[in-house]
Amino acid sequence: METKKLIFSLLVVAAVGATAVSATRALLSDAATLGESTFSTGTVDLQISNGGPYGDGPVTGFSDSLRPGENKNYSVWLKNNTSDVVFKLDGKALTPVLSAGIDKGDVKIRFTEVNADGSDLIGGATIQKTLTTWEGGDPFGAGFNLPANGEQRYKMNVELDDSAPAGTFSFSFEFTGTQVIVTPTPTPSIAL
Amino acid sequence: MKNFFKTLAVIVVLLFGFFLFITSNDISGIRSFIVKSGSMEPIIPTGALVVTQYTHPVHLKKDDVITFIRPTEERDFITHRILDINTRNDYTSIQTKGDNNKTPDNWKVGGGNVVGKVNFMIPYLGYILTFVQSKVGILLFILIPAIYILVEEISNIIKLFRKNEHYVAEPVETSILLLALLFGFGSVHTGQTQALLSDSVVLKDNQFVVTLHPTITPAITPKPSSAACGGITTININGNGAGSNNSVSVQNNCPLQTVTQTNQSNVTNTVTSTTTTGGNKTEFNTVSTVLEENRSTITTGEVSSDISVSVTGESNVLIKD
Repeated sequence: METKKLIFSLLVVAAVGATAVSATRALLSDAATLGESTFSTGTVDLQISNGGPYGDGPVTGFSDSLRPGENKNYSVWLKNNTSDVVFKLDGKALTPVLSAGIDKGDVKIRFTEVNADGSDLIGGATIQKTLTTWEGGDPFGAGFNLPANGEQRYKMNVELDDSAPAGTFSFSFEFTGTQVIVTPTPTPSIAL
Repeated sequence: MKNFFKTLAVIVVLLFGFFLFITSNDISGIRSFIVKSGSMEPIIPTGALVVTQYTHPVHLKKDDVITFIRPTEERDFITHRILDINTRNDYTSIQTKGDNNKTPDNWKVGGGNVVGKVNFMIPYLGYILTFVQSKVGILLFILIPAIYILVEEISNIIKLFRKNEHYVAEPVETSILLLALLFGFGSVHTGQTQALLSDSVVLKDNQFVVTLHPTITPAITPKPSSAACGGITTININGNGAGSNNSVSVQNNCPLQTVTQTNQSNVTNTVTSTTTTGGNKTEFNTVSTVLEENRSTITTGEVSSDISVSVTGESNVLIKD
């Protein structure tokens, strides 16, 4: 009878002891939050402007004429109207319509971060893809991330290939902001 | 009666701690996650615990809520609803969307990335487990109970060896602490899932008309024949806008006779001229409002301004090789 109790007590000491050791290590290292992210309650809101006041859109796009080989710039502003979420951006061209002879590959759309006055942002991100690639949806890249309550202006450059014949083309463009999960990095601590 | 409830409470905590331990360590395909964000509200509120069960993609259908590994570089756990599911040649592709998000997710989930289908959720439990995972929580739920139990058990072992006292039965407090420990141990390993939030905006109807370069006719330089000498070769450049430079090359074997170059351009000049007459003054006037001949008037001198407008810019250059 006492042997059984002895064995039981020893087992408990071993198991609990191991747990206590690992818990102590966890406490002493700053990774005690186990690399977790914070809770994000509430909704997120991305807003757009084509020069006027910000809104949830859709906003009217641009109408213009282009010669083959020519490119022109237009102004698009985006705002992350959420207080506790960073956005990463994705772009997608919607309902592209092109007249005969003009290919989606002939149209290139570039987005470049610009200052409030429209001048290029030094070190600002830029990305150019064909209408074909944008139609499938493509990420802008980490350089374009929009911080919480952040606003960024962009130059949208539309370029038409030299080989395009006369005609017309149109497209809508959808910008999606997706929550970036921020994991706090542990600060260095004494190794146990 | 008091003992019954105590025992019941102990059993509940025991079962719960055990459940957490099992589900956080992915045994038997059941796995629980703390929900960190709210794109699946209200059916899954932020801070809830979701319990998922591994389901083969073949048994998944539209509108099921699943937890999956995000197929982009982040590779974290996302919990969203199935918008569309497609299986072809043993490969399943799933389009997911958060209930509260405007647009579907920017990826396709492969069957192999599915962790499980959400069977039920317990609100607020995620918040509690996150607290247990924190430093304070680890102290309260693991370290303190552990130390207490260790001290108890070690003193029991010592008593056993000394044999001067009867082995004292485990106090109830120790059992409860053991259970708290189990709960804590299970909790710290519970993973997290995001109900990932997103929003979209649209720049609508960008429309472009493609106009061609200025046309040059004839498109092909006509080949001269002997009969063509003495004829007129006419080359027209139309539709070139302001500031354009155009060049045409003409080759023929005829002796150069007369070359006529004509430009037609339309220029609109708007001229605004403002002149003032200055320095007019009258003094000591008696103004009569009745007798017209006594009213004083001011006659200003003549004002003229010379305006000249010149239009330049058109020039043709003939180069003879």
